[in-house]
Amino acid sequence: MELMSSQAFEDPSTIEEIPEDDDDEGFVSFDSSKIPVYTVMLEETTREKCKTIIICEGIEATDFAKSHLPLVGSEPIGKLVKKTQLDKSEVEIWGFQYKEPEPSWFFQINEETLLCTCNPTISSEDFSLFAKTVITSFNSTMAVVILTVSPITNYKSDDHTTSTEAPLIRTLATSAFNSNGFVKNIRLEQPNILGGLAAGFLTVCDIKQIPAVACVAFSSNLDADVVNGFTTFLHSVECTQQLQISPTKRFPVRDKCTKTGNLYI
Amino acid sequence: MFVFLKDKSIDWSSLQDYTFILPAVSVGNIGQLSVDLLISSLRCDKLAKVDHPIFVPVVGSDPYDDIREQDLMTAAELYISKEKKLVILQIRGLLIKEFCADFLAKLVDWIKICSFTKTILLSSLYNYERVDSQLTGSPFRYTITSSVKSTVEEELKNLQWSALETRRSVWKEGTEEILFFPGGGYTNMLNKLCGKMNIPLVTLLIFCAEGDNIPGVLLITGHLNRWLNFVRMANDTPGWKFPASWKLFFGAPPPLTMY
Repeated sequence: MELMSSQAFEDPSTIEEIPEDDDDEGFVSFDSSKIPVYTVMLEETTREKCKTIIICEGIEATDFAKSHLPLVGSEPIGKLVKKTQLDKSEVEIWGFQYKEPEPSWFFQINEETLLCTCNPTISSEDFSLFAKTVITSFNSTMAVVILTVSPITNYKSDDHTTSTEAPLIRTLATSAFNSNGFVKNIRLEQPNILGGLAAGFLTVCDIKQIPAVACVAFSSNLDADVVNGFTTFLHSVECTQQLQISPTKRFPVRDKCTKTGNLYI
Repeated sequence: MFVFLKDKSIDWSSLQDYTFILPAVSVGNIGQLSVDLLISSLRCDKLAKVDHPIFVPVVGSDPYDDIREQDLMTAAELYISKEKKLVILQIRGLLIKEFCADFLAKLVDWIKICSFTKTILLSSLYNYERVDSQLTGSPFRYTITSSVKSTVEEELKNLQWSALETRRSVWKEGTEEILFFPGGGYTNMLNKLCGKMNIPLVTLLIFCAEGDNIPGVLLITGHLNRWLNFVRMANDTPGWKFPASWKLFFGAPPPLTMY
């Protein structure tokens, strides 16, 4: 069953005359002249039964989810695709061909819990649109849990990160989320901020009063500390505390992100 | 567009004698940093969140007080100071250009409904785009729309502020002089829209570049404070309270072990 992104915003009107000082300071733009449309392709019954959705942003978080969470099979049960106006002519630049954007995928964990692994190449101008499409496709009574990994160098603290605890994990939650002691104690402190899809989801959920919590692990890669951190976090959150999280990898993860070039041909 | 926080709902018409301050997302983030300083120093209360597709999302903990409020910080929020009769919009993230016209139209409609006594835009311009007369002296400038009251215009003149100079249009033939806002984000668009809708808008700007712009922020907010007297002065200097979000602007300290 397809569900398209809400038409709450129309195509923006364009100004008649481009001013002389028109520049992009403070702005980002869509690639094409039309606002993209995201479409959820997931069975309606599955969406209606879903009470918790775990969102994974980035390669490391997706790796963790696919390797350690108890997924029902390794194949996805649905996807979220971006429809854009593309130039269909093939463009060869340095041996690469222009491709349609890769979809984001939905996996089943159990009847009430789904996993959504987000395409790592989503641009900043699409964050809100993507998040809104996912959230509005499900019941407003569901809970949202977001996992993301950020480089350790992004973490700002008075002490250098070498002297901080491992795993370095922090959380942010919407006001509708019932934060327990563990989540409150590791709240992401200022001056640190969170961007990306995690911010998109938290913002949409905050506006719609949906309980949502994001866990960000500061690390350079997916190591045992991050796995432990995510596991501890998921077990501390009521909607995911029953999940049987494997400490070792369940399925071999094919690295689809490695692309070969023609530099040495 | 505005989503009130719990128990904070108000009637927009009750803001008739308030002043509205908003930033432009412009070079050096001058407007946004200035608004940060005002909200922190005046201990403004968060009133509402702004829900519009223009904003690139960003979230965090309360940037002004880690202890007092546990509400999630989002990309754009509305603050109020009932004591100072101030409403302040803060924008923390980038903007999506294609939605700018719609956002500004809705914002201007809202400003009209509230009927603020003053609307003040804090902005900045690229310092490499200055004309000769702007190269020396203070980098501070102001502009007003045509519907600004003569009393306000008189106040600004008495403060001995410099109005933003016009310059000859490069694109058009002839000697037409225009107001030029390079690096000002939506400053030009908002000025034109307010002019068209007869909204009195005062724009305060400084010329700057990317980098550490705290001195520029103190300059523009100092000028604003000299005009409107929000923050008490101590030895001719306003008693600004820097927000918690200004810590570690340029990253964490280096590891001591490397020495």
